[in-house]
Amino acid sequence: MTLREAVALIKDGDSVAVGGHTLRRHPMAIIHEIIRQGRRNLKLLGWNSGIDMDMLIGAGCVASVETSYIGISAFGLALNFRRAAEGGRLKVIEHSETTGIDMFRATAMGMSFFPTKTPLGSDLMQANEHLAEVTCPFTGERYAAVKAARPDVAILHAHTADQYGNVQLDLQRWHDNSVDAILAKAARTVLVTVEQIVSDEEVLRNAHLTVLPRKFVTAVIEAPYGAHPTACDSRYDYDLEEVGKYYEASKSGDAFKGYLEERVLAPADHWAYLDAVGLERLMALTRQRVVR
Amino acid sequence: MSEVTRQEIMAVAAAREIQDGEAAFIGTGLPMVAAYLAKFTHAPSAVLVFESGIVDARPRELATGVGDFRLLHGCVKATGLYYALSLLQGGFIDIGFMGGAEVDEYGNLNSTAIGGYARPTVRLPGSGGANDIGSLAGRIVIMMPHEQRRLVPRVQYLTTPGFLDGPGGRERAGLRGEGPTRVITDLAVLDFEPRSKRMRLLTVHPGVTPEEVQARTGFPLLLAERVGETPIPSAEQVAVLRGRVDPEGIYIGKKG
Repeated sequence: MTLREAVALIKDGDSVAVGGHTLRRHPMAIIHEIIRQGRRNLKLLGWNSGIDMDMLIGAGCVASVETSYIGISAFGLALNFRRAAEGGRLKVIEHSETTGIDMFRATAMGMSFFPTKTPLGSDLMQANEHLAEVTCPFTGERYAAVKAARPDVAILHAHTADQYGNVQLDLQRWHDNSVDAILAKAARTVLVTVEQIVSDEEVLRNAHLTVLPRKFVTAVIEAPYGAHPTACDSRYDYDLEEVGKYYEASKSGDAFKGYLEERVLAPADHWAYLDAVGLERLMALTRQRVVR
Repeated sequence: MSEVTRQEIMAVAAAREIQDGEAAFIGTGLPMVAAYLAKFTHAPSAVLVFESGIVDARPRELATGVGDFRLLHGCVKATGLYYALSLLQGGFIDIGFMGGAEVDEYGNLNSTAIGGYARPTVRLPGSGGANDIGSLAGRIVIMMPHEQRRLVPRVQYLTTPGFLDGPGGRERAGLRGEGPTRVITDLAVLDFEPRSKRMRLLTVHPGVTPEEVQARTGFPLLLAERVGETPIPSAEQVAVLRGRVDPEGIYIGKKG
């Protein structure tokens, strides 16, 4: 399946869980293609979000967001998110990080809710209709119940997969990335881009690296640098030059349209996007991938 | 030794809050600087847990984000955010650090919205891990710039619980942990008076008066019996800060 065909599985109005966190391993190649295809009224779900959601909001694809945070790392506030929320054009369902993960965890474990302590007493309990108070039947202690989320689609980026869709993560960051597997188990349709499609034998040889067996994966698409400009740890670092360019452009709606035109709409596909970013930059990000 | 910066005074004050052997949950910026200072001086056995699930890191360069891959260098356990969050919920974290756009007299924090939630005048990034830390860490240290629009009688949106509506508030809500125990600003060090849970001025930084602190606070501060002066960093602390923790002065300010 091509990236274009995979993204065509996402419909206007779908709820879409977005993998990765902060400035790390967001499925940016898929996000660019969603913008090219002009999807509208998406309900985005995540647990610690950044340029992934902000870009989709700025491109006019989004009706609501459900996450704990949307910011552009050290650069500051996510400005498309900010404009849309302040203009009353975007519904925001706010979580703590824990409850942002627990909504997927509940579904992945076949439960209708998950108990936690974090949002008790805060205004999150009022602002988020998916949180409610419950009492422990054994101790009488108070908990917040997080309603299970069942996204129509999950979009993820990983390191490798075989042709059948058995998805693997590089060992060095396996743990950090493993929340994506919970998102995948919660969603009906799961689209995964990977840095590299590897042989069946390679997966069999390193079965301990498999984070998602093919049962949970609808489509796997090879998209090298598919997380750019966010980092894909152990492969390449985040591209602060590109994120800075994005941040500057996002200061006004018109400038941001220019950015989308140049970086997302003009390139016909992911390969044309990589050409636009340029080999020299991509290689530099790859060279600095390993801790000195 | 050139003149110490306000950020250095804040870093030292924050470092003092970490006891040897404690597990400290830290983010980037000054709390990270303070945590390394503590580890390199009086608290060598402190276990520093980054929100990103990196446990006991000793990076060669300062990280630019809590999820920073650079922190992996020399850490004893590399895991993920969910693991770190689970440590909080399990009650394994003794002390956490945080900031916010607003703090009120009961130590509640707002990092979500100014001017109403549904249609705010300023939409901020949201909780992230702040609510998780404030609700579940053993003690909380709040660090922020001291401005009247930031230290307000009541936060406009309560993202992160301090003492909620005052004495007994946390217990009634079902929260764990002592709540906020220190507020460290660029002017002063404050705590919360044990009975009323209201913010109280403990010490002012050198060159600052209690009147100036009150003038830049949006509610009446309680005063400690004797408001002293915040201790200035020792020669050893300054040497560690400038030579080992933040040699480029990214967080502690440029050398005078």
